[in-house]
Amino acid sequence: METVIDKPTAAASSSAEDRILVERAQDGDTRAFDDLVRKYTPKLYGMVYNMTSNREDTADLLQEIFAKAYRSVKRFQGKSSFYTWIYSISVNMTLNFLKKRGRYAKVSLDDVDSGIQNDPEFVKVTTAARDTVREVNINELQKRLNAAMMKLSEDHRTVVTLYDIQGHQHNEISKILGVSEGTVRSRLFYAHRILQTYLEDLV
Amino acid sequence: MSEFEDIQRLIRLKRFEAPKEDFVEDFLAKFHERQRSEMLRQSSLSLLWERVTTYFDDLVAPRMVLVPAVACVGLLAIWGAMNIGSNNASDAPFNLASSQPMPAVMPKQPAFSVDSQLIREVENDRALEIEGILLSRHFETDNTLQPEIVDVVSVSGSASPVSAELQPVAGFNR
Repeated sequence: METVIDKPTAAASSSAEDRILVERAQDGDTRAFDDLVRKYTPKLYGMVYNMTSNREDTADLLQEIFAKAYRSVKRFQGKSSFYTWIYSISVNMTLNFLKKRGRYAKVSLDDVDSGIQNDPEFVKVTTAARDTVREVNINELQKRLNAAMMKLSEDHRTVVTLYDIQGHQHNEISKILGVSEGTVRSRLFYAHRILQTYLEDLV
Repeated sequence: MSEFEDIQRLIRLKRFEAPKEDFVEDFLAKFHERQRSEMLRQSSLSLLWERVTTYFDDLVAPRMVLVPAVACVGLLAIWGAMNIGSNNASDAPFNLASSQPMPAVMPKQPAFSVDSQLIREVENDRALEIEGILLSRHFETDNTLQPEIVDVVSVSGSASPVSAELQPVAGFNR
């Protein structure tokens, strides 16, 4: 069975550590907030990047997300975990960004992460899984995956990103998006079906 | 096994699209820079507003009260401005020589006077007193100051006031 990176349980177990950092940040300790930024930037980068398929937009949006979190951290009451809270902010801001971008511009779907091609683990997985990923160029594969993701509606793309790519559980996605678990499962089912039609030749 | 297991495995490959190792520290440096520039950009007005809201927060005033209060103050200010504007519009605008005639009789009492029975009685008493003083002065026989009047009185033989009979004064044109 494939190892799952960024298990949500790991995030849940570190919620106590987050709480301490948040309390310090609320008292004006900017270093504590820096630690939160260090901890959550890679995770949120993955989420935002897979939603936008553009690295520049991702970096800009992450700046906005953490700036908003910094302004609002004093009002954070700890009703949910910091992890859920920052993810909710990120998803909402990303969806708003996508709506605006959809109105004013078309994103280039050719914007692929060239760094991934040199990632030894990625190469290992893609070359080992010949039964899944057939004779296809890695760069071409990235383009196809990005294109397929962008075919999904924003709601469907969000659940696929959070569940399949980020490894969150249904109940966590439900809290982040503020919808029922049933809705999450339903969206996932339809999203997978759509993706299958677009990537049928690869599986 | 899910019917979409293969497609999920394929999508999971996107997990490897992670930022480079130095991305986080660069990102943090940019974040600090952005925070500093935002602080500099903040105008004095917004700082004042922030301080006011923080002050009210400390007073445990519910935020919901603040908004209507600000709205009321704003409405009052607008109403006041409109009222002043309409008054100015009806008056002749800042003419030193007004085109409208002055009223024939201006009220003699000051605008801030109080109409009361006691004040009227006091004023009446004072008027009577002044009248008495004037009459007493009138009937005084001062020869050095009013020689003509003395003559008139002596001729007529009565003590009627000069002003009442308007007798010609002898030697007036001299």
